[in-house]
Amino acid sequence: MDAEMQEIVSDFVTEAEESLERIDPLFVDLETKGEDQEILNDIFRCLHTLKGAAGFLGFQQVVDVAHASESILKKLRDGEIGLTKHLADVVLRSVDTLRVLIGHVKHGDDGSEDTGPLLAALADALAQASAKGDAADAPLPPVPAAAPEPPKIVSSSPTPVPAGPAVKGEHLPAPSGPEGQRGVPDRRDALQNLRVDIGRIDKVMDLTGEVVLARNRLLTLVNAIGSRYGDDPAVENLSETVSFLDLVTSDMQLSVLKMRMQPLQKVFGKFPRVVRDIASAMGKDIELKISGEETEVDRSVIEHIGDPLIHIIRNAIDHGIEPPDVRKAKGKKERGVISIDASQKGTQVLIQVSDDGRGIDIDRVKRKAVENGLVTAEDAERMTDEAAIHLIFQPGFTTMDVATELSGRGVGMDVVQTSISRLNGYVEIKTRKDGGSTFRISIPLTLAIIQSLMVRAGGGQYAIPLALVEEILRVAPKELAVTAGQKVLVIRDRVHPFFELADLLGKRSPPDPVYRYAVVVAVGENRFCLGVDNLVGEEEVVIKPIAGLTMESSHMIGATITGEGKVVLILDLASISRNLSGPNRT
Amino acid sequence: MKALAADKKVIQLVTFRLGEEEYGVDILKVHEINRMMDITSVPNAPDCIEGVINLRGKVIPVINLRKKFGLPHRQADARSKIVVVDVGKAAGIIVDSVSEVLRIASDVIEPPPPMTASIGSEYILGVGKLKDRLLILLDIGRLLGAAEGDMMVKAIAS
Repeated sequence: MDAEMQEIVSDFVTEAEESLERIDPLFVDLETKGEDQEILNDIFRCLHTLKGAAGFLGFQQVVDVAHASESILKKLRDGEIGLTKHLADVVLRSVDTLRVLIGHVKHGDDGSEDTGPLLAALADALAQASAKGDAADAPLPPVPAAAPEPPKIVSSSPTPVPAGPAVKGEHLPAPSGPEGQRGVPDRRDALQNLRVDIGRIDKVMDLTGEVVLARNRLLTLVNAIGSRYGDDPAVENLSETVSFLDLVTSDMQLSVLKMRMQPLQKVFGKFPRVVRDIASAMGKDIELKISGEETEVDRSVIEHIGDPLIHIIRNAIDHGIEPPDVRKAKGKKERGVISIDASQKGTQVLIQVSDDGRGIDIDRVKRKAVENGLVTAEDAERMTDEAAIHLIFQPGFTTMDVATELSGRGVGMDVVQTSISRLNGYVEIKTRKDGGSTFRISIPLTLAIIQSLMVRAGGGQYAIPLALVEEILRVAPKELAVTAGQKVLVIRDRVHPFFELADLLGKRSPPDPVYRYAVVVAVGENRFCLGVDNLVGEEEVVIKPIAGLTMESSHMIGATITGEGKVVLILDLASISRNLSGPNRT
Repeated sequence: MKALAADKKVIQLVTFRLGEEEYGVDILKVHEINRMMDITSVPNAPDCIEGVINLRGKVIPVINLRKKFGLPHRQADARSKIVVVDVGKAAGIIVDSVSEVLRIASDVIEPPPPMTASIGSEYILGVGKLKDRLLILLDIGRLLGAAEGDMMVKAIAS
């Protein structure tokens, strides 16, 4: 395949993926709203465009499947048949198959799928649905005529309906009408947007990170030179230029970050289908409410937030929402509700997944955790409710006695925890018996660059993510009280546990000086103070991974390089907080 | 190891000293040799991980071979070096001093003796018999793998 062709194919793949992504939520919409002409048209158009492009490029299997589903959609739209669950299922199945087929095209592996049974099912469903009406021309075997020379069909037909012209000739004008009208604004949109290979943006991102580091070094150097040769006009010029560079770099950094931002819609769009499929498999009736999907986050967040969210949703459907009869007995509405809400809070994104199901039974969680050998009975007894709920994130935890297809194997919730900490975020759970559960996920907007507070403790320098720092206090040792063997600091009548950072990091404990600094951090609901020797200052740092070292045990999310070229480790407050409130410490 | 002994090729080694012994590492695995620099220690890391360094903008771990091999502590001096090796991942190893780049015929290399005093024989590819001295050939890939393994174990245990 030459380069030009490759580009055409890759454009096709991108567009096809986008079309398919649109269909899923549309279909679920359709099922809830009933037969809406607009939605039917939309789905039809997606399939139709896909079929046309695939036919032009000669991807026959794609054409066949798209055509068969399109025929059903067309009849639905023209009101010839009514939408049944069976029909919806089979069309969604064909969307899945199309996705697989497009995947083959994408990877250029020339793989093919056995689409025979699916095509038969599609034809069958159509025949069944139209049996009451005119059954004569409906179960048409998918495009036998188109098979041998797909490209020719497009060229021979000026309208973008390539397949099955002989039988369905009379319908031709119908699809092309709305298609033409809709096509115009879409194309104008396309002119405002530029599709850029993500690799190029990532490259710019990396380079920007390096520029930020160089800028930090320059600022340090200029300060040093300025204090030595302050009255030299050349030095003054230099420091002005560096200040300018400082501003521009910050702006550039922000612009690049924005370039990588995408709305959460990209992830949330998949959920209606997921909920529909799981709910119907479990025999539950569930409504999904989504809000805040326009909230934009970094691409890397988009990539990794999907799986944990799906785990949480699956869990809510499986364990949270009760079957309709149970709900009725409890005096709840038979239809359960799962709501997903996203919003931005400063530099963090907050995603909440709530259900109105039975809530998490904390005693049961404790009992199961003991049975699964995760904690001892005494530990479980002493545990606070908050700490106990977090037991569900332990690897190997399951409340199910029998594993179902969907959950109960003791994998899942620990994946949620790990993936979210990997995104440098944290999860909190709120639950009420029969009132449902809420999972609150907080993650930073971006992963690459964070504002940090540089501190010194136990002879080393560390960076604390500033987003989680509430305040910083200077305290004398006598202000620290000790209750039940735990140092605490009372700030405005609230008691905060106080930990020496050096102790937490396994460094030697510092001698008692006259003053200590207490950095008050809030990881979700968990507020505590970290005692440090000294404050160095605030710095914007680029997070760098440390290849070959697993950082989890060291409570670090990565490292950064300071203005002086020194490596400074960045604290993972979520991991520290977990460790403090975990079973071992309570 | 067998491959090394079998064909009579000439191999190039970077040799360095650690305590009383002289070690060699395949030159193709060696990325660069640096003077000692500021090492940032990593909390709760295994003993043999000395910390991390800034290698031109990249952060890489540094392994203290003395600790790994159970040799007594020795204060770093002007001759101490960090040998940056690259076996898929880059890492630094601290050595007492770097001696030379040596070309030796592969047939002077013998399999490791069954009993090796100070270090586990699993990290030894073979022993090179030179005119006046012996040279221990290190399997640097396995060594780094093991150091990383420690880290993983630690992570799981915690």
